[in-house]
Amino acid sequence: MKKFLLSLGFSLITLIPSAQAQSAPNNNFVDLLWEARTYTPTGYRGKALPSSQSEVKVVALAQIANLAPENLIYTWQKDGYNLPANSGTGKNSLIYRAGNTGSNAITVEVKTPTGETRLKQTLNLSLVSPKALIYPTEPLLGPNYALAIPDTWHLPENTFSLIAEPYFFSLANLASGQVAFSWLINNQLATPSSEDGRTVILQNRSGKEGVAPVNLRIKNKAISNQEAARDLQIEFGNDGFSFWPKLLPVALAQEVGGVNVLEPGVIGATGSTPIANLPDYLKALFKQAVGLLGLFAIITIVWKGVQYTINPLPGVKTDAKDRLWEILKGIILALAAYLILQQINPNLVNLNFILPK
Amino acid sequence: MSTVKKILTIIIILVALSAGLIGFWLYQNREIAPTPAPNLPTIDEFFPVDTGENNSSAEESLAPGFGESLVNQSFGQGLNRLLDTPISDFQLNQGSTTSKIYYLDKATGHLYEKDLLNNAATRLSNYTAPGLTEAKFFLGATSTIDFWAIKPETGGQVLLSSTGNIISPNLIALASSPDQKKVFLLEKVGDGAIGSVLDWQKPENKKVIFRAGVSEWLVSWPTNSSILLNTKPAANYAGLIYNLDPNTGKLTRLIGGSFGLTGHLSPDGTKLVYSHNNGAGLNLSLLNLNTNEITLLGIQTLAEKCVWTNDSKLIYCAVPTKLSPLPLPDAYYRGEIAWQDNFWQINTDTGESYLIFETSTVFGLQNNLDASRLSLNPAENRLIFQNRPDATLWSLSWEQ
Repeated sequence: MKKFLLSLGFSLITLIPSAQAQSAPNNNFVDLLWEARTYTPTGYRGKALPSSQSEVKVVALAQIANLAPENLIYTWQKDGYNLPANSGTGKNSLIYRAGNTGSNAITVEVKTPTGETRLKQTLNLSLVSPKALIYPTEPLLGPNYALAIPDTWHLPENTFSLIAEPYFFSLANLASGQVAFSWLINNQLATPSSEDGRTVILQNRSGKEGVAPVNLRIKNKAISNQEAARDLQIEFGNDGFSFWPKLLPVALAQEVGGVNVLEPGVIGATGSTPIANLPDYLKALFKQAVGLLGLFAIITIVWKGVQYTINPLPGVKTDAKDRLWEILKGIILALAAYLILQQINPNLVNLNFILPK
Repeated sequence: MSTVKKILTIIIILVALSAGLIGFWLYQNREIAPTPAPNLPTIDEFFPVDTGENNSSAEESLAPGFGESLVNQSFGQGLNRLLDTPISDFQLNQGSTTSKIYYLDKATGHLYEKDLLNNAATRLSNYTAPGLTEAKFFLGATSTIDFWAIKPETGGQVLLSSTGNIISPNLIALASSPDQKKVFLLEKVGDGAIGSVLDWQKPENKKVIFRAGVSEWLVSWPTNSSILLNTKPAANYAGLIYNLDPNTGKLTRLIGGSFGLTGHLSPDGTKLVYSHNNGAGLNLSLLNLNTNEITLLGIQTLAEKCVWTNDSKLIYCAVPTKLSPLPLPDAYYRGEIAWQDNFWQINTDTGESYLIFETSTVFGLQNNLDASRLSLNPAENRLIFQNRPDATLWSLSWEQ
């Protein structure tokens, strides 16, 4: 077992008390608790965040002079404006609808009936954009929320289910079916396997290699600003390591019995985008080639350097020296060309193989 | 050629070689910016920060059920994978000297007893409930192990007994007392929450001790006199942690105002280790509840990835080797990133930190080791934990 003693001289430094607790255990306090009525998956440990026009509930949790919360007087403000209808004795909560963008400042003043003790607290709540994430899901295990599918993902089995999660969409609109889910595979509508449209099943029946561009769109039909998208490349059929990037055929999905069967190599089919990943492929290929050339240059420098140092024959020495200079000049030339081109126009060195439409 | 020239030539070659290798490495990894972790000038070499654009960690992780069929696979240096199938939850048999562990199989919901040191596992329950997400274990009426488990449903969670009876149809969170005789249930009522304490044996006798107008809470029951209530954390919003006395229902605010706040109270109830987001990543801090002093521990991880020793002196933490600039802990909870953890021991009295296990030294570890639900054995020389991406069960032991 590897064991490093790092403490002495290291972490001892960090144990200097940095501050008093921002809010030490305190008997008299007022805190503003809040929750946005937006969606997060069941069991999500994080907070549901407010998005455009979502409903937010704010609760004043007050402990003052051992008085029951219903006997305290609450005065609420939103963005500096008094809310008399929401204020009064025992009125310890406020429900409001957020705006389209920006943030809201909520202030509460809590006082005892005699007015002897008054405490004030302010909360600033910024709105976030809703978020669409996709997870793998299995009938017995359910969704794996620890593993949101990244931009490029390899289908681990020939048949696999995906579920869309609409983070921070309004709960009420989700419940009433006003949030629409649409899945596109290679620009064609895919067939969901659940009534709410959140789940799709992908299947690679032929076992051939391919790639399927998958685009998820989620839109709240009741609130125009609540929409989110997620775009993926799902590779299937190839699970072996390849040094050089592969140019995989793009797949179309054909619905067979509620399952989206991925058929690779349908270049030219109606509605398809042949070789949609060609720009990415060329970029990856170029990156790999430049890396290899760099490695080759290093090996040559070392080899010729050793020859120059060790070999006693003058001809070999001269040849090695010349070759070293040539490599150095080559590197300087390449760097200078890159810098000059970048100075003229950064797009000249920004590899983009996508042709303008 | 003179000796000086030879030496100079060799130095130039070595410099060129080093520069070339570094250049090649930087080129190949240019999306990963090795920015030093902020506020950690002392041990930041262990906590480089990546850009979050490289999702290779998430890509490499396997979905549950797709690992090789291996059980008790040793990776050397005290690291063992105990199970290769996903589990819902587990508990060490703390009173036993026989290294027993109880766990729920996620695909079936069946309870198993397993010896840590061999492959033998005995099934103890028959009721099938796939997809359970969390469980609490206790001694049943016949002094045999029993459990309650959480099952996710559309729009909420249901608490089930081991025989499938519904204990609570609207569960928010569940915590077991340290002596495992009582349980704290937080249930959704209307648009708020009610917290009750009850005996495992008499679930109908609920004693309501907490009411709140909001329902987003994380709960734990670390000491007999403390139930910890933590508002759910978010990177850009301040959180709060309260202490709820299970006997009186008295609520005390322990700390508030920090973003992304989650806490973990020591067994003696005097120290709170908590994680918070200072805008540049997660930081682990210690609040001494006797003196109200806060100490930065110089570790970047979540408080829930730490476990206290019984004497409340040490914590063992799973610490990510790289943090993401994505909002934390939100992005981690959403599974947008998966971490590769090293394991640290931190003495909360002296500040001494030991790296007890470095994952990068393990050969053959193909996927991420992202520890969750850490638990210490009674001898405090073995950590049992779940690997979050695939929910498998692991063990890490060390010499003391």
